[in-house]
Amino acid sequence: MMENKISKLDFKPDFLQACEIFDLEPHDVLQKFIDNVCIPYFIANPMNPDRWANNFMIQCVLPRLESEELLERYAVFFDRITEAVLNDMKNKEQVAREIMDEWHKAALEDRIEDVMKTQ
Amino acid sequence: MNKIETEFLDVPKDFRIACEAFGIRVADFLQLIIRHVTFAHLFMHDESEYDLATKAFVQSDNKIAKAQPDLKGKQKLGQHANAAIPHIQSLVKLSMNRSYSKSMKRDKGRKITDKLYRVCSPHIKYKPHLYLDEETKLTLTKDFLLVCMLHQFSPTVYINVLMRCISLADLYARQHLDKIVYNAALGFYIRVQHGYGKLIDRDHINTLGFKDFILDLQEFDVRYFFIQDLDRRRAVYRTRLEEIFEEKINQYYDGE
Repeated sequence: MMENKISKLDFKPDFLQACEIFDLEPHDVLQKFIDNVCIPYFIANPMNPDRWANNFMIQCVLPRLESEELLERYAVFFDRITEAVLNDMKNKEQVAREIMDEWHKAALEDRIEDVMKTQ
Repeated sequence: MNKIETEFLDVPKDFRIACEAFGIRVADFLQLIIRHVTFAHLFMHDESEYDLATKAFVQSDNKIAKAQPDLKGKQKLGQHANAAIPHIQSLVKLSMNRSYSKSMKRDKGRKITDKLYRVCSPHIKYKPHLYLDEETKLTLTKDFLLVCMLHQFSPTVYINVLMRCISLADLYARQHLDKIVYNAALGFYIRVQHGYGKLIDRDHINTLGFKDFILDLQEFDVRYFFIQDLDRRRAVYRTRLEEIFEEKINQYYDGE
């Protein structure tokens, strides 16, 4: 589990103002966003009306995809997801989830390897 | 690549969507770009719409000649060279002259081109008009006809190839994958889409159909982020563009 740094977040006045006027807890707002992020579901259902959180998440991902190194390293995962979606597999959400689980594992392993190399 | 039509103007679906989705009539766009072709720009370069229009037509010469060599004309120009070459030399000199501004060069170039046209026109076998359909006539300018003659491609072939160079699917797929290549035809189209030539139907831009179209288009890079192969990304964009064009734009016009 990634460290929860929410208490260290810098709440801008506009965000706090909206929360205070409408009696919202900043934590609840962020939790709602977090609860709605599910990339495998978004990949399988990109036009679902509830896509707003995934949309925002991918907007954050896009600048990372400008790295040639990342694209090369994980090309196999991009390709496999593409295959699943373009072939319109019935269980594409499940397939996308399995691929992303593998991807996740590979990314963490690569990161550990990178850290080991620099030491 | 499908064979290029040589007998009539064959409007590709991608090009039609690029124009009509943004409220631009195909005929108006073609007429505008043809009117902007400036023979003198074969010998000079600047950032103007005239330069883009001229380069838009000649940018695919090699590709066409390689793919379909039979489309290249076989008219021998050698016998007219004595009369034509001095004018072409003047154009080359003009292009290198640093004392004139770009627009002055274009004006002076036009005068030289007129002289060149007088020499060449008896040998130009292309008609000065082309029909997009029974009712829509395109006027072909002297500069355009000269470019066609010099490059040995018929106006129909040149216009058909130009239309193939303009595709929103290709534009956005390349843009989103950071694989942009120089495409003068697309450059001219983008200027028109941004208002150049005042071809855009403002009423259309305010329709709900157009707004829905744009909203959908704006999500393409996020929705298909995982497709990193250009051909596949382009194909997916093309399919979706055709769908939303039918749903949002054509449907709107049908309901008018």
